[in-house]
Amino acid sequence: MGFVSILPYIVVGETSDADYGFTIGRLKFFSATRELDATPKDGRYILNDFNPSADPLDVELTFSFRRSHEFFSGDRAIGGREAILGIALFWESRTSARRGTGSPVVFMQDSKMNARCIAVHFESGTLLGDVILRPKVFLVKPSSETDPRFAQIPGSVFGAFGGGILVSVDRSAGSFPISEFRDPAPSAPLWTLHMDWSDPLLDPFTKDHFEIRINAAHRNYDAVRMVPNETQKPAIPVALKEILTTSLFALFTKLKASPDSWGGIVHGDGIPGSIGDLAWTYLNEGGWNTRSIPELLADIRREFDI
Amino acid sequence: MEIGKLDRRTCLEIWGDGNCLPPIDTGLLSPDEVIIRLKCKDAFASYAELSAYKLDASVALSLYYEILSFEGGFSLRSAADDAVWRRLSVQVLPDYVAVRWGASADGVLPGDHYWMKPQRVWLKCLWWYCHLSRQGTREETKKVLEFGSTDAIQAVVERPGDGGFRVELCREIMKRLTHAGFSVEMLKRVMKLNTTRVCLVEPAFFSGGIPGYVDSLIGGLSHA
Repeated sequence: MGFVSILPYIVVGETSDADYGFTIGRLKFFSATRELDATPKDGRYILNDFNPSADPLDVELTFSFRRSHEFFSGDRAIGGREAILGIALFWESRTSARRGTGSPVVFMQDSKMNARCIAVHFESGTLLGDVILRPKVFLVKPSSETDPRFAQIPGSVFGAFGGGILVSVDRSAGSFPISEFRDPAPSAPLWTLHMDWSDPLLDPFTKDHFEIRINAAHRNYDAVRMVPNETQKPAIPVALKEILTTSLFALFTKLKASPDSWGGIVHGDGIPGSIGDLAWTYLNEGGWNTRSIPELLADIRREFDI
Repeated sequence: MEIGKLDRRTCLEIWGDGNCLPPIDTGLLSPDEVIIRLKCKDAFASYAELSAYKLDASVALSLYYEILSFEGGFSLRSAADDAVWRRLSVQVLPDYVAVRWGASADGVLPGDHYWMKPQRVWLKCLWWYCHLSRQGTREETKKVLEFGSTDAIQAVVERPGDGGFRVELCREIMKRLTHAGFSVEMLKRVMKLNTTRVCLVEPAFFSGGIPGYVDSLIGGLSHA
């Protein structure tokens, strides 16, 4: 069996959702038989009342393809009329050091693809940090048709639908305050940073005390724009990652400038949900090194994978 | 199993310039950490004659199956946590790490193998090496490791990729080391070939599943 180095067939991308009529119905999280509270916040699902050391986790995604027949014939075909395709939840977790797939749903040209469900199971004590889930379509069995557009190798992955679903198993239900404003003035910057607190060990990490403000009227707004989607995490643009990096760097610089409160922060004295608590979490879970500016910047950039 | 965590900043303060091993204060260790030290003492006593990869393979087996075993309460979650490995390497077992990675001629300890570079931390590398080589039984795993080398550790463990290890795929590739005609050199080439092909094909859904996928990788070596 040979391989190809470049995909010779159409790749299903984020913009193809509409073409195949892919829609996500529900995303549910269970631990044993108990359904978990997982409200999406800032592009990620934070599991509440969940202990990743002791609790197993099941994720179920209900989806539909309104025009799944387009996979098999027509301009958008990728498999051919006799092909058998599959869709499964692919997962990866850099922080857990592992990746894998859930059980697939297999479908053919005449399959009804309304309200189908794909799932993935995680044993207790196996996850750490964040997990990204992506529904991906792949080839199960090729069609006998000879068309260069059609994949021939079982297991060939055509692409993911959406930018991925980010699930955090270790974070408290805090949020990263980002807001938008509109200032079309040519001199108005793309973004500004608001930092105003009196005691970081007590003041909550909320927009009153810390906020990144993005100018939606700026000519470069598209470079930092995240397309909102209730159930999926859009990919974070690199330019926005740079803004997050700079903002967190500014946060830590200001915190370190106050030796008394900084001492409390590194000892974990911040009350839960406070600015100091967030900083302590980054220092301990992220292992950020604040001894020098280059090392801190490198650790923050590593957090955002840039 | 209760093992503490050590953040990078504190670790750096403890480590200093790396001219001497951090002192071990057994009074500050948890009961489980004390047991880990005792198990290491027993294990290393039988490894006195071993060095280099033979020591690596023996320690890997003991770590995975006895000292930090799932049955004993160690978890994948802990194994993925660099703060746990920093604690073990720098505050619980630094003297045992030094058996393999002692000070160089200039008197400086190789910090990379203790805590500085997460993918090179010796204890972590060995635990994951064994996990990614695991076969049905301890004896079968041992047999696979006997065919390995320090190059195999690097090829399998030090390049997990952005999204983490594909555990079953690694185990299948490592299993091939016991097959006639398959060498560590081939394993390294297979791992490299895999990094390009796995972008296009999901091994679990390949014809014949993961074994079929590995067969195709090996078959593709002659064309690579």
